Amino acid sequence: MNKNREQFAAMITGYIDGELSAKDTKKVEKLLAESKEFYDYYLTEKRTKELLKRRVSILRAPLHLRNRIRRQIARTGYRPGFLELLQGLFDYRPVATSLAFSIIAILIVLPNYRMIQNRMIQNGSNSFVSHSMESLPPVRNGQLAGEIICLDCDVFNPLLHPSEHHDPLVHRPGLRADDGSIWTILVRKGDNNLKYSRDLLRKHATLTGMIFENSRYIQVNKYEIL
Amino acid sequence: MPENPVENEDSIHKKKEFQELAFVHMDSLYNTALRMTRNELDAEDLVQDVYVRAYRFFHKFRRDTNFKAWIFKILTNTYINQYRKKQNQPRQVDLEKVKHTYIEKNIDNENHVIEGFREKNYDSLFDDDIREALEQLPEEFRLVVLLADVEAFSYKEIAKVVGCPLGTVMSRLSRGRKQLQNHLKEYAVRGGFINKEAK
Repeated sequence: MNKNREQFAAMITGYIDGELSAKDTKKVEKLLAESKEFYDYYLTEKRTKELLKRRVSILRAPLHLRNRIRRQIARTGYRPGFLELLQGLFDYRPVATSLAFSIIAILIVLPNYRMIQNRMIQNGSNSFVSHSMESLPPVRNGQLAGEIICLDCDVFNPLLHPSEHHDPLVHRPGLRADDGSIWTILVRKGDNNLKYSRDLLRKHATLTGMIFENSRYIQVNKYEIL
Repeated sequence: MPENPVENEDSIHKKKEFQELAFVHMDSLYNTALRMTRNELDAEDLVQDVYVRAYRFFHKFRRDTNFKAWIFKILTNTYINQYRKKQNQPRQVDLEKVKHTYIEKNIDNENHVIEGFREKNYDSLFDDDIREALEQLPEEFRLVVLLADVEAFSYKEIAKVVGCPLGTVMSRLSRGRKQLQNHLKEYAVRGGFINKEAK
């Protein structure tokens, strides 16, 4: 019960200050019309507010304080923010600043791009490019273009030269797509050319088939050597 | 390093802009600082600190917002961070957890308190009494009452300045005014302006 009274008391405060929504205003007006106790409470609080407004005088800040603050501000250097500094630089020397920022961007981004890409290849993961593919459905019919590779020779054991390597019958066919991503090729039963032919290694091709985005597989229905 | 005339001009322009915006509120800031610190020297130092901070961070002020609320926010933060500690205030009680004080219970139950307050005799109270009654309020209530009733901030602005939800502002204001009524009644009874009715 007390909690309700506190809530109503707070609402009456809001009503006096004109801070209530239309719905709450109607609620309070109904309450005030129905309850003499709350109406008295409302009148009392209203008078308190008016008394404060009328009688709590605004003292003028002392003159010596004003002067002291003026002197302090005159001595204090204005500290522009970082964006203001940048803007100032661009306004002052636009060409030089643009060139400097471009060079910095190239120097920072380019080596990191290479590093990230190399790391992805070493791990056999294509997550670096995966977010560019995020918008694509997980399984779809489509085409991929790139270089036909052996996953063992070219990704997991790159030090082994393919021509000296193990039996070509155990190549693991893959595709290094034009965007740098690595895909595993699944061949249909009976179609062994793509899998076992050493002649196709290092050749550029377009593969058509069912693409499994998340696991980076392509089940090839047909292919075309470029 | 040679002075850059462009930078100096910019700095002068910023100073002028700041003074035009900020100095208009000095009286309000001083009043609020005085009622918070309850000491003239501390109030002056607090106001000076506020202006220096406000000038230093003027670049962060968004021109489409209320400057007065912004500088009062700086006042509140500066007071809490520097001056409250200096004054060795006792640990603040979370007033929201205190459901009902004895005083508030009495106001709810005793009609003669409410009746008495409606008399015009409260106008006879001295300004000092009203000021003292205000100073007796707990800090959180006092600040909200000052911002709402003396400085005429909206609840939304008070919530930003004080850093609490809108509902809390309303609750503190309601309870602050109630406590103030009781303090004022004591002064009025002492001054002989109203009679305390026997139960």
